[in-house]
Order: sequence, then C-alpha cells, then structure tokens
Amino acid sequence: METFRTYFILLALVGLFSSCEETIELDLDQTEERVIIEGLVSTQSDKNFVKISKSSPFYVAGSTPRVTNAVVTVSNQEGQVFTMVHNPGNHPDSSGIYIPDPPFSGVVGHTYFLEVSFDGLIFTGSDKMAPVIAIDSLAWGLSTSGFPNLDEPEHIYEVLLYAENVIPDRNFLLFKFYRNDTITGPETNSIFTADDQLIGDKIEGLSAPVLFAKNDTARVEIYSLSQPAFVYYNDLFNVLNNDGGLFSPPPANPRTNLSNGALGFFQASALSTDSIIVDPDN
Amino acid sequence: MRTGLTLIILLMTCLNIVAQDRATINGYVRDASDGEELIGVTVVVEGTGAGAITNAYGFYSITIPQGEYNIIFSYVGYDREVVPVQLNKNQEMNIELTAEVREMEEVVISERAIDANVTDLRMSRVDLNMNTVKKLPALFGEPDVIKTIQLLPGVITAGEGTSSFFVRGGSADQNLILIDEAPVYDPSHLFGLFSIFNADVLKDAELYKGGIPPRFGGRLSSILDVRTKDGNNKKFAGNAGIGSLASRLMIEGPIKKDKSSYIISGRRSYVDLFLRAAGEENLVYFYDVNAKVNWRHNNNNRFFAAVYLGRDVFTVGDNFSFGWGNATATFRWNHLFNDRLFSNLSLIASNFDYELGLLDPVQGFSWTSNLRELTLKQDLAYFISPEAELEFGYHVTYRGFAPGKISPADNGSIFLTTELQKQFALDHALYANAQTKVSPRLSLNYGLRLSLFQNLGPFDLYSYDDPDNNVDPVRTDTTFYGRFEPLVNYLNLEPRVSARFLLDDQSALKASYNRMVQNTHLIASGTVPLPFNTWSPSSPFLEPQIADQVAVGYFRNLRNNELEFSVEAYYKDMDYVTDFADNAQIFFNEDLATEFRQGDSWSYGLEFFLQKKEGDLTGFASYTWSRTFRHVPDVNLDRTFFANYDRRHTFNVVGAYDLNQSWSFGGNFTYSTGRPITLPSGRYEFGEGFQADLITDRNSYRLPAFHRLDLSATYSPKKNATRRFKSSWVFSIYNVYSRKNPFTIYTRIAEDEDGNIIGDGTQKEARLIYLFPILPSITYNVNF
Repeated sequence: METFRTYFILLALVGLFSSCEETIELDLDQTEERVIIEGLVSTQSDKNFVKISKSSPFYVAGSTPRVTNAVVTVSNQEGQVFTMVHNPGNHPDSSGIYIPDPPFSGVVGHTYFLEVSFDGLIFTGSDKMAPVIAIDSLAWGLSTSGFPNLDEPEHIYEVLLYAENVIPDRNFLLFKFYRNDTITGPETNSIFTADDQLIGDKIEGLSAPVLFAKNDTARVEIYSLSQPAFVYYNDLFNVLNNDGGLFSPPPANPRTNLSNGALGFFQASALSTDSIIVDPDN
Repeated sequence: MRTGLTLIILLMTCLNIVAQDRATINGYVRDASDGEELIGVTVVVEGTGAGAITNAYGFYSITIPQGEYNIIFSYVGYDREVVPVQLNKNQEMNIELTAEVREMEEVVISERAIDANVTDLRMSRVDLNMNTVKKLPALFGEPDVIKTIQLLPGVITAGEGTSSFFVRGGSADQNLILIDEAPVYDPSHLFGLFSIFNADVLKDAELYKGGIPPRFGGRLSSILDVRTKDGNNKKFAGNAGIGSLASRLMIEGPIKKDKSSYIISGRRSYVDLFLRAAGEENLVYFYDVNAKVNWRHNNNNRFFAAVYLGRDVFTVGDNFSFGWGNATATFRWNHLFNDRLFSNLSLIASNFDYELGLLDPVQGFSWTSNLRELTLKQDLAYFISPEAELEFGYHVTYRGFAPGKISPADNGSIFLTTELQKQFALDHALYANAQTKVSPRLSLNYGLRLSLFQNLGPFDLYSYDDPDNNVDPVRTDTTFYGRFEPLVNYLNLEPRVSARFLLDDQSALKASYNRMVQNTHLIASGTVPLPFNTWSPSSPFLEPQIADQVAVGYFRNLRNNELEFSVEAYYKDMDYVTDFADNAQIFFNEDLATEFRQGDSWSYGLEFFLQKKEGDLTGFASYTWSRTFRHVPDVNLDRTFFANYDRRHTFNVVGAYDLNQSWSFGGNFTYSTGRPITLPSGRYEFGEGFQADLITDRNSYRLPAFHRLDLSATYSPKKNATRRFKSSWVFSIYNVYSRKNPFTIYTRIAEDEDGNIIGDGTQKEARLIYLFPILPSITYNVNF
C-alpha cells in the first residue's frame, strides 16, 4: 500500500511539471517541548525496549533530549510486571532507552500495559499483541523492473518475499527491510504497512523496496500490528510526507495510545523474520 | 411528485387572471451573423419604463397595454435596434442584432439605456463575456474562463495552477459548476493547470455568489452556469488554434438554414508528443470534445442536444497510470405554452470517474471510482406583466456513488478484489420565484426552494459503538436497506429574497438573503480537491450542509454608464460544514463515517468592483477584503482556525486595449495575502531514524503574498479583411517579472545542493515550492 501512496503524493506534485523549489527560513513559534515515548514488546526478547525523549525546536539539529530518570514498567493482563532498566550497558547512543531486566518474550493474544513516570508526570499506554503471518521464504533474482540507481550500479538484485496469510481475523502488518543490517525506509520517509483486507491469502514475490549487490545480506521483518498501531504508522507516514495541506490533509500529530499528551506509541507485536545472502556465484 | 404537480397547476390557475386590454410581445433575440441566441439582452419599451432581459435561452416576453411603441433591444458589443410596433394583439417578434463594427474614429454613442448593473434585480452576480476572456493573457496561451473567474471580487484561489476557486468563504466543492445545465464534478485538466471549458465553444458564463435564484440549489456557495454556443445556423464557419500546449478545432454550421445547426469542437494537449520525442516515458495528455445540435421545430418548440466529453490520462513509466474525466449529456426542449408561459424541459446525465492503475505482477492493481447522475428538470417562466414574473419548477435527480473498487491487475497480484459499498440518492426540488415591481423604484424578488433529499438503499448501514472512534471503530450492528428504501430523508426549505431600490437613474441599493443546502459532500481533506476525490451523499452520518447569507450592495454607473461600479458586503453563516477529523484516513476506508466531523464556518467580506465593458479599453478592477473561519469538533483540538482558503486582501486588475485593427493588448495583475498553512513548531525522533515534525496550531502561519503580472498582444494582419481565412497571433507572457509565487511549503531533512544529506540527518529544513517562472507563449488562430 505504501508504494502506492508514495506514488500518489509524488505524482500530485510532479504532475505540475514545471515546479521549482528553494529552501526558505521559517519564523516559527517556540512551543514547549513534548514527551515522546516509543515502546515495543515483541515475541523476540532482545527486541523489547522503551525509549523516552523530548521534542526539539524545528531548526535545532542533533540528538533530541533524552529522559534518563524515568521509572518504567511493563505488565501483562495477568498482572505480571517486567521491570525496565535505563541503559544497562551505559552506551552513549542508548541514552533514554530502557531494557527489560530480566529479558522476557511477549505472548500473542496478551495485552501489555506501559507505565512511565518521571518529574511527577505519569504516562500510560496499552496494546494487544496480534498474531503475525510467518515468512515462508525469501528469494533473490536479477531485478526485472524498478528504477536502477545510477549511483549504485552494482545493486542489480531484487529480493522477493513469500508468505501465506492463514490468520482468520483482519490483521495489520509492518514490514522492515534491511540491507546488510541497514534499514530501508527512513531516508525516504517510507513506512511499509499492510491491511490484509486489501492483500490476498498469499504474498507471492513481494519485492523489497531496495536493490542489492552481490554478497549483500537481505533481512525482512514482519511485525503484527493492532489496529491503533496501524493507524499510528499511517499517521506518522502522513506527517512525514505532508505537502503543507494543499493536496494532502493539513498535517497533524499521529494518534497515539499514550496518555497525558505524550507522542509516540507503545506497540505489542509478534515478529516473523528471515534473511538471505545474495550469492549469484554459488 | 404528486404534491409537486398539484402545486404547479394551482400556481398556473391563479395566474390566468389577467386584464384583457393588454397584449404580449415575445420572441428570441439572436446574433445576426450566426443565429446564436443572446442571453441577457435588455429589451425596453421606450417611454414606459417597462422592459425585460432575455433569459438563458434568449427568450423574452413583455405584456403591456395595447398601443404604439418603440421597442429597444440593446446588448454589449452589438448595435442597438429600435423597432416600432403597433401592438393591438399578441405578437411574436424575433430580433437579430448585429455586432458593432469598430471604426478607428468611432464616436462614443451618447444616448444609452440605463445599464443592467443598476437596474437588474440581481446582485452578487457576474456575467462574463467570452470575448473578454479571450483577450486576456493566459497561461500557455490557453484562454480559460475559470482563470478569469478567479479574478472576480469575492473569489479566492488556492494559488496558480489550480482550477479550484473559493467563493465568499465557501470551499472549492461548494460551487455548482454547470455546462449546459449538467453538473461537472471536477473541472480540471492537468491537475488544474487548465479547466475543461474550451473557450471556442462557450457562449456565456454567469457566476452567482449570492442572491442565488431558487431554480439553483445543491451547493452552498456559488453557481457557475456555463452555456455553450448553439452553432451557426446561417453559414458554415469554424476556427482552429495551435498553441504551445494544446490545439483546438471548432466547426459549426446550419443543418437547415435558420432552422437547425450543429457545432463540434475538439481540443487535445500534446505535451506527451514532445515528451515522447524527448524519449521520456512519462506521458500526460488531455482532450475535450463538445458537440451540440439544435433545431427549431417552430417558434413554440425548440430542441437542443449537447454532449461534453473530456479526459486526462497520465502514465508514469511502463506501469503506472491514472486518468479522470467528465461526460455530460443534456437534452432540452423549450416550449411556449402561450405567449407568456415559457417552458424548459431538460433531461441531463452526468458521469465523473477516475482510475488508477499499477501494472506489476505482484503489487499490481487497478482502482476505479465513479459518480453518475440523471436529472429531469421542468422549469416554467410566466411573464405576467412587466411588473411581475413568476418562475417555478420541479427537479429530480438520481445519483449513484461508487466510491472505490480495487481489482488485481494480474493473477499473481497480492491485491484482492475489494469494493466499497455503493451509495444512492434521490434529490427532489420544488421551487417558485416571483419578481414584482412594487414601485418605479422598488422591485422585489422572492422565492422558495423546497428540497427533499433521500439517501437510498441498497445499503448495509453499520451502527457504531462510538461513531467518532476512528482509531479502532467497533461496529455494533448492520441494518440492510433494500433497493429504493430510504435510509434517511432530509427536508429543507430554502428561502431566497432580494430587493432593489433605485436611488436615481445612475445608482441603486440592493440587498439579498439566501439559504442554500448541500447534500453531496466532497471527501477530501486537502485544500485543493484532487481528481481522485470521491463524493458522498448526505446519510445518517452526514447531515446536509446549510448556509445563510445576507448581502447588501451599492451599485452606481459613472460617466454616462461607461463605467459600472459596485460595492457589496456579505456575511455568511454555514452549519454542518463537512470536515474530517485530524489525521482522517479518507482513502478507501470502509468506516469512513467515523472520520466525518461537521462544524461551523462563518465568513464576512467587502467587495469592490469597477468594470468598463465598452470602448477601446475594457476591463475591470476588483478588491476584496474577507475573513473566513472554521470551528469543527475534534479538528485542531476543537479550536477555531482560519479556513484553508482565507485571504485577507485580494486585488485584481484586468484590462484589454484595442490599439487599431491589427493590434490589441491585454494584461492582468493579481495580488493576494498568502494563504494559511500549518507549519511545525518542533521536531522529534521516532523509530529507526524518522525525524517527524511536531505540529501545533492548524493554519496558524501564512505563505508569502501572491502577486503576478501577465501581458499579451494579439496581432491580426490587415489582409484579414478581404480573406475567407482570418488569422491571428497571440503572444503572451505569464508572470512577467518572474515572481516566485508560493505554491506550498514542505519540510525535509536538510540537503546540500547536490542532494546529499547534511550532517547526521537530524537537521530539518523547509522548502518552498513555486510553479511558474516567466513563461512566454505563442498561439496561432484561424477563423473561417
């Protein structure tokens, strides 16, 4: 679906074929900073984390401020509480990131609850973990279609995904594609989500949105999403790709499952993953 | 339906009581060169103050005491005709007016009838002459009536390059756009660079901003009534134009001289041919076809059949394509029941559809959507006396909305065939309008439109636990409605009143009040509608939109009617304006009902208009001061915000000057306050490197002001006078001083000039998009 939507926005703008653009300096109001919470409980224990940060003024670059003094707990519907510890490895890049100690794996069908408190503020959120479709296999081949990137002439292989949708209920998916452990998407503000009402029972040869070179490793992750999580990612996509409200809707902050004015999302996802090495010589 | 007929019959019986010593003179006014009916010709009975204006079909009827009179027919750009009559019985008088021949040493005619600007009962209305439109400089040299309308007072645009317009605080979908009475749901070609109206075939365009007659309804803000030519019934003629973007050909002629005629016109863009020649795979083109035949069976029965067909097609690479188009057909029967009862029966069909397609073995799909309607209209005009006129009628429209269907492009496609539920509606309207001359100075126009809107089955209507929960909608129940079974009925009374008070023979005061109701809603949350937007009927989840508008105006003619001046003030209050929740997912959403939010909007403004219609120099200047607000629950956190199209100041000057028989010049200048825009106040991180904008208030910033100057020159060689083929060259320059006019602003991660991301990819920047720098163009036209 996202491929299609990207086209849609691109064409709306490019369709006006003689358009030009330039950078302008905006005189923006400085508003108070907002709390951003990003949390994940998944079926894979080493993926679980909660990250707490704050917004920056629009023109200020660099890492946004991190909250390191929060008390963070995750619990499930049975009252089981998982303690989250701030940056146990004390890694400078992981400031503001809380990891469960001890680690735990989420269970499909369980509802998870997040509570974050710091500086007298309390934020809560919850999400129910939906089942995920299993990746059947990945395959690679010479790219037959698509747009070869002239800057990367060695990237001529596509990677295709095969999966079967056996889940009876309506389900929502988030795809992440990695080339040698580097994710594809953020650099083009792309987010790849799907609603199974629009896709059929089978995914037969869905191509990764990036091309690969010889000996590259391709990895695909599929996360199950609850409907609110699907809505969040769509909203995030829209705000990342907004044209200022001429053709696209006026931008708005994504709808969240977090309380007390926090932005971000607390997500519970089952995870299905697979990888393949592009090895045409073997 | 039965009550409707009864009412009409009642009205007719009431009106048959007329004094016997009077006689009626009626007929059609036509252009002597091609037999084209003329709309809006002033017909005055000299010395009596009695008079009429020819209606949309070129017909007039005046009933006066028997006697000897001089009847004066006058129309802008035509020689005045004075016809003596001995009126002792009802008499038919069809008149042909000759277009005035402009001589270099022309003396301005000093004696003229008072201009309709002052005497006309109607206000908030502009009648556009196609010759004016054609003389103005145009983008790529394509004259476009909508681009001229965008310069009128009270009309605001979203910027250049769009065919949408905003009238007195109304959104773009609140304008009813009609071509030969058939509604057009998207008037744009090439995303709005041009409108679908081909200037070659247009006869007349009228814009009603207020004081809207009861025979029109269905939209809140304005009516744009565009009529095409009937075709020359005297001789074969035509014209052709070769422009830098599109070429046109129009031919017209009699089928049977003075009895029946035809007109056929086509236009096609050829950017795609250039692109193809340049080896470009992305193609884009549009075409238009207008065709019309009309025949006069006798003076009491006239028939017309008109068709419009237009389409835009885009293809990107080998595998992505989309297109949209309108198709309309109108059949009209004008019938005179007697000298004073004029009838128009119309059968109208309209279709709008779009399609998107991706040809890919896996992700391929095609998406189609359409809106179809069929209308039957019976309009009657009863010319009781010069002091009184009654119009009444009944309209019924059946509409089918197919909001969207996705089908796989290929067997291996991951897409399923999915279709959103179709919706159906039946729209009835019964109206009556009376015009009365209370005193020589005061005239009144009062009418009522009764509209009954029915949202019909077959339909599965969902009930929701919380109809406003658009994140995780929970359906509690489904009710099935059968074919033609109403889901909901909305009955509305729409009063329309206007009054004119003549201060003296050069000036008048006018006032009007009208209520308008809109039952078809555009499902779009951007400012400018895209051709991919769907429409939805009023339904159990969508109330009819209602607008009340009051307007007052002062109208004055200056310099012996050479200049027309008016100033109008309006206040418009709109209820249940259709909007969408923040973040609404309006594209292919089965629970779209949970995204609807209806609220209030209000607008007020002051409009100044100065127009010169005759002489070597013609044109107009307009200035509008206006403000438009919205307050919609769940939108912008329930706070009031400026409407997307609010512009404080708008100033336009348009002029055309005939230097001599070979050269004429045109120019226009436009200035407006920047439109509101929502900009970020901050930035935050999410996920693996997304830098999202933090949004605060909706529409709390302004784009930079918009202004532009365009110039054109038309050269007609002197040899033309003696030739069968008359050629002309139009040279135009769009955006003379190459102003970088803001189209919109978007944000992105900062990049250097080579497109490389600066630093660690956390620096954001804002980009201003502007469309057209200075753009010269040449068009070659031939008339034959």
